[in-house]
Amino acid sequence: MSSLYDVTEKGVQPNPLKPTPSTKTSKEYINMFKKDFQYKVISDDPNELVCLLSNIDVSIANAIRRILLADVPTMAIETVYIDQNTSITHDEVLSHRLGLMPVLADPTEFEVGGDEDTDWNTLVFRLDVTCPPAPPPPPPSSAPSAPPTPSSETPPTTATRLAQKHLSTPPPPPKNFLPVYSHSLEWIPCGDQSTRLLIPPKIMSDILITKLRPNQKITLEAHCKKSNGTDHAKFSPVCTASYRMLPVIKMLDNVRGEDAEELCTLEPGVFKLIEKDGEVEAVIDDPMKCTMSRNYLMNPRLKSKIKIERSGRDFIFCIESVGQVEPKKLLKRAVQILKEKGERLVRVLEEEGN
Amino acid sequence: MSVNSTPVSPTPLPLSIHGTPYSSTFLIGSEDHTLGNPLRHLLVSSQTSSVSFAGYSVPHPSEQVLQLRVQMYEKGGKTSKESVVEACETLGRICEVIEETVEREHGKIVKDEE
Repeated sequence: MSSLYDVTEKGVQPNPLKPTPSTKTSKEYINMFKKDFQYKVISDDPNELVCLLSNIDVSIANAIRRILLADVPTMAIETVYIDQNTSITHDEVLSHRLGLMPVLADPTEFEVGGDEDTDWNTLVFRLDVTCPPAPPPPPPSSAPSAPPTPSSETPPTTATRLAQKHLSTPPPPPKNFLPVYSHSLEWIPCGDQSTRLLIPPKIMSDILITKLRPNQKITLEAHCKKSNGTDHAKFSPVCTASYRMLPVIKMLDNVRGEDAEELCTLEPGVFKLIEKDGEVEAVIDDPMKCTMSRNYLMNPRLKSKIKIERSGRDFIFCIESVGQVEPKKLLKRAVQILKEKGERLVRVLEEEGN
Repeated sequence: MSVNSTPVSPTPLPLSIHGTPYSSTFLIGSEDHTLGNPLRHLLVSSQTSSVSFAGYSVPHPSEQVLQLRVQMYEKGGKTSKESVVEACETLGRICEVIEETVEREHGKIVKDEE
């Protein structure tokens, strides 16, 4: 394992001169980690957190990423009891669609599993929608310019319908259907949920479930369970959680004139041009913009003046939340779960000895 | 359990230890690379005075079993089991440090949750 990687034409190769630091005892390691570890927020939005974790081993960074994807629990619709469904969407397709919808509820308020449905492991939502009957047909128009209707005995062929469509002005969009959105699902509080849950749970709004034609009806009850991404991807709290190694850029020599301008186009955003002694010079602006395209290696002069490396101990994390839990809380929970995994192993190891 | 998912057979043992006290293989149920790799790293990098070798593998992805091999330098000192427990505790301390640092950076917002 290496703490620095050379980015060459042949690929990314570990630098043998920079091995990962090691210590003789665990105590020294903890002290070293305490001293060196750094955390920096690069951007913090309600749904996306980009942060830099410095001086941490890749195995721990990867464990955090894996836990974010598969081990942080959330609530999702697991069982759907359908009373009535006369819509065009089949029961199983409808249930699947419902299952994938993010349930905005605090997972810490619930327990995993249990043989029976209780207010501690289940959230109930109800959907009851009916499309109103179609409006009565408009009275026959008296305008003589109306296109001749085909005789009732022969149904209109596709060709005649298409022809009519092109001849006449485009018809207004049909009004006689009802779009069913996710916010139509109504939360049914059970037990002490109405007092226990400070923020009323709901399904993320504005997701189209299906469309109903006149007189079609859906009545169903959906039960949400708590689980994690290992069980089903719908429980995963992140759209994606990823990290990349921090680019390290070294200027071995001044880059001036035409080369400086070329460098700015080859590695956009990474370098900026400044005026120096009546000449332009490229200086490092934002190493994080580096895409590791290795374009600068194409110019032999630039190749000898610049070195781009990757640090194997600094990681730019990007945590994109689905919406149930804020990304910074997800990060905290992931770290807690990693700690619990270690504690669980200690417990079973100690039981084994007795 | 969803309709299409394959039920994963429960591991027969949560843990079994093979070998001698100073060079053992631990079979750990319901764990994978998430715990295996950090433990291997900590055994190799944080206890260099006592651990001579540490490695891990997940023999098959659909079997939730982690194999961890730990060998010590000398007999009579710390056992493999003790060093794994120590690595777990180190991992816990590291997680605490990360948690504290994250909390400090984000202020009270994260703290309010508990």
